[in-house]
This record gives sequence, C-alpha cells and structure tokens, in this order.
Amino acid sequence: MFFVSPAMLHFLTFTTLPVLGVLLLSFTDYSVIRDTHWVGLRNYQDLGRDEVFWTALRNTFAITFVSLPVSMALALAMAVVLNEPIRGRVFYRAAFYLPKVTATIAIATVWLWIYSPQFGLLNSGLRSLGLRPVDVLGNPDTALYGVVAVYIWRTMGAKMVIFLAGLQAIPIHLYEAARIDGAGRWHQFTRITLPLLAPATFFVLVTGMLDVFKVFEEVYVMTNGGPVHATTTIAHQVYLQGFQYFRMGYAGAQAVIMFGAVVVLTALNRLLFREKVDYA
Amino acid sequence: MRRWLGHGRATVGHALLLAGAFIMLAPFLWMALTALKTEREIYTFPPVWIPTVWDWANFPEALAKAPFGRYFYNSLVMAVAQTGINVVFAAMAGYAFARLRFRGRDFLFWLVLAKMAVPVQVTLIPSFLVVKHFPLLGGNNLLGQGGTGMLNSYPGLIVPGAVTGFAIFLFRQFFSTLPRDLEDAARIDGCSEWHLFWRIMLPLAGPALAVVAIFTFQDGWNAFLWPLVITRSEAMRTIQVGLTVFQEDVTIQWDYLMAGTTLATLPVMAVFILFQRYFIRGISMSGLKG
Repeated sequence: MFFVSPAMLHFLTFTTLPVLGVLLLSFTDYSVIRDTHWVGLRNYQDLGRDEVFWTALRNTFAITFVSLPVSMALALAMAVVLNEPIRGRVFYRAAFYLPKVTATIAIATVWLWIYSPQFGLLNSGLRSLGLRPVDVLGNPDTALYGVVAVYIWRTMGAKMVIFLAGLQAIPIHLYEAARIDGAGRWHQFTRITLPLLAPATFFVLVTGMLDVFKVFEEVYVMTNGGPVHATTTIAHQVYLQGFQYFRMGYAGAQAVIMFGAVVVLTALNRLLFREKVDYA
Repeated sequence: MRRWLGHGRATVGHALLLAGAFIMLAPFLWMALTALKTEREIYTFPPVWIPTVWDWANFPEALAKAPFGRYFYNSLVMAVAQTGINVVFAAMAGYAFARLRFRGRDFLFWLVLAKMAVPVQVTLIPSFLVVKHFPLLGGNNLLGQGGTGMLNSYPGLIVPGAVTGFAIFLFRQFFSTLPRDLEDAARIDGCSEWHLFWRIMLPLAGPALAVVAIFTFQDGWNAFLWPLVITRSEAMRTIQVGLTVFQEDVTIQWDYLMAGTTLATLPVMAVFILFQRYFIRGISMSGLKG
C-alpha cells in the first residue's frame, strides 16, 4: 500500500477530486471575480439554447467522422506496405511518426504559415499550377477542412505504428497456407489480415474517438474557433468560457457533457466489442 | 512476367512511400528553411525552397524579440522535473500493482485506467482551482484562501501532470513479466520490501524506465493548455505558450516565428531520433499509446 500511496494521492488531488469538483461546479455560477451562487440546472438549460455550443458539438463530430476513416485507411495502407521487407523501413516509420512526437502548437504554427493566403506554400503551389489561391482558414466553408487535414496529418503516424504492431502479431504460416490454397493477395488481405487485425482496429478506433474530444491546439493557433465559430470544438469552448470569459460554472457544465460523452463511448465500446482493449 | 509484376509492385510501393514521407517531412523542412531565409526570399513568388543567402541571424534576432531563452529554460525545468517524479512514483505504483497484494488493488488500478480515458479539459477548471487554493502556498492560509497558491510557479507547472496513468500501466506490464523466483529468493534472504524494490526490481526495469522517461519528457516539453492557463507572467511561460504569444503581434514575422518554432521542436526531435527504438518498444510494450 505504501508503494502506491504517492501516485494515488496525486490521482486523488488532480483527477478524482477535479472530476467530482467539475460536477459540483456545473451547478454554480462560479466566476473567480464575483460571488458564487447555486444555480441548479440553469447552466445546462443555457447550454441547450447556446448556438455556439451546438456548433462546437457538431464540429467535434464532423472532425470525428471525416478524420477517422481517412486517417485509419491511410495508416492501414502505410502499415501494410511497411510490413514488407522494404529498404528504408526504419526511415519511413520515423518520418510518419515524427508529427506525433512534435508539439502540436509548433505543428499548427507551421501549418498556419503553409495555409497563409499570400505567400504560404499551399497557395504558392496552387499559383504555380495556374490555379486561384484560396484562403482555406479564412473561409467559413473550408476552415474546418483545413483543421481536419492538419489533424489527419498529425495523427496518422501513431495509428500506423499500432496497425504495424498488429500486423506483426499475425502468424506468417497463415499466409503460407493460404498461398498453397491458391489465395491471391487481395483474398489474403480480406480473409486473414483484416479479421486478425480487428483488435488493433478497434483500439485505434476507440482511442481515436476519445482523442478528437481533445482537439484544441490546432484550433487555438490556426483559427481561434473562427471564422464565425466554423472551427470551434468542445475543448475550445471549455477553454474560452472558463479562461477567457471566466464563466467557470458554465464551462464546467460543458466539461460534464464532454465527460458524459467519453463515458458513453467507452461503455458502448465495452458492450459492442468484448475484445480486450486497453485505453491510453 | 511474374517477376516483372512483382518488381512493378515494389516500385509503386516505393513511390507511394516516398510521396508519403515527403508529405510528412515537407512541413518540417519548410519550417527550418523559412527560419533561415531573408525576409525578401520569404515573400517571393515562385517560392524558393533553398535559401540563396543563409540568414542565420534570424535565430539571435528572434531570441532578442521575445525571451525564447527563458521560455526554453522553463520548459526544460518542467519536462525534466516531471520525468524525475513520474519515473519514481509510477514505478513504485506499477510495481505494487504487478507484484503486491493489498486491499482495493483492483479498484485503484481501474482508477488508473479510467484516468487515461478522461480528457484533460474535463478536469481543467477544478485542477486550476485546486492549484489556486492549495493550502499554505503562494500566500494561502490553511484553508487555501487569500493568495494565489501554486499559480504562476514551477510547482504549479510541474506537479499536476507529474504522475501519469500511462506510466503506471507500463510499469505494471513490465514488472508482471519478471520471474517470481527472484523476489522469493530475496525474501528468504531477509530482504525488506523496500530494499527488494530499490535494489533488485528497479535496476532490472531499465527498458521500462527509459520508455517512461522519454514519453514523460516529450509530454512535458510539448504541454500547452495547462501552462497556458496557470502562467501569468512572461518569466514563467513555457516555450509552447511563448510561441502563441509571439503570434499575437499585429504583423507576424514568419522568419522569426519559424526560428522560434524550430527551437521549440528541436529537443524532442533530437530525443526521438536518438532513442527511436524506445518509442517503438514503448508502443509494443503496452500494445497501445494512441
């Protein structure tokens, strides 16, 4: 017991207590500056009428539905290719994983420069091809895609490494047996690789869904949620309400909704896939 | 014919990989090269990849524009301190979860797993309040009133993120793989539990220690949201927060900003390139890390 107490004391102070605290907080109008009152469910009622919060929810789900299929498909394709004894494997693996180790703030800053309407790399490229320059992040119709593209680029490599670990756990003799039976490569992929990769796929899917709730830094640096809330996310709203407008009770209610979504997602996953999946 | 086809497939595969690697690396190259260009070459069309004049002066000039040196130092303090704390406390906890029996073990371990799934934004505001009202620090009284607690201080930067569920989980996985005979032999020799852990178990945990140290350093260095909300003064800002403050200037000077961004990415990239095998090992050891 002595061995776990420092770590558990830390968890108690900075995780358990805050999770309970945020629940309490969400029933108050706590704001640092003014006196605090118990307001019951008012924050939640206000949330229901808050157009910006609904937009943030929609954006968060849009990021999930667009980014996950694309990044998982790309990651799987790259993993399958890199699972072959190809020259320069170590280099490619490192190159794809590099954004995962780099600070998201730095990444978002670089992409802000790439997207820059006048002399950014993207528009210089478009102009070289004789196309019209685009202000991806300045246009409410395209800004979210600009954010999603960076998110896919940033998270693909980590997904690829998990797929790669999954691929390496598949016994070679299965493929040998399939080849003897005359199965082609596509057949081998759909009948052996995909089914046996299912645990890795579920893991990538679930951690990927949980990760989207945290999308904040790209938004903070590249668009600050704009133009006209086109790119704001739940995580961004929690920060904005809590630390820009100091409506901490209200931000607390948003955090509780976020927590609820995470719990539901985790429980749903447990129910649907009884596979042994660990979260991190 | 068959061989030719196989060859063709390998070539297509290679071409795809090269294209992929270019897309992954180009932004980093563009960052570093922008940091080394003169202002004139940054704003030209068509764009120049390789600077004709290597403007190394951008780095000292950027350092003069904003206290990047100070930011750098603060990030280093935060990352190193968190690494030290995590390595010791998470190893102790992971060892206990793997090897010792005590009441509430399963429940506490479930708590460790749950912590990993909770997004930081959920606990952000209450954690801020815990830090602000921490008793007897920063002018606070016993009830945590009257002062600023650990806000805008090194303890405030370091402590809340210093022990991670991931590290405990990883250490537990590692310690469960060690043979039982080892500790039985030590116990028969009259070795205390404390001694057993420090002198026998921990020295064997080298690979796990390395993985946890590397991941914790990386997380500390890259941290943004927490340092953003608890630092007030320029002197306490970390490099990632400093980078965003630098962008709030009316006109962004891309050469200086990219110089700062390059500095902000270099330490972790160096760690990654030097210890790449530990990153891969960390992922296979835990079977995860999304």
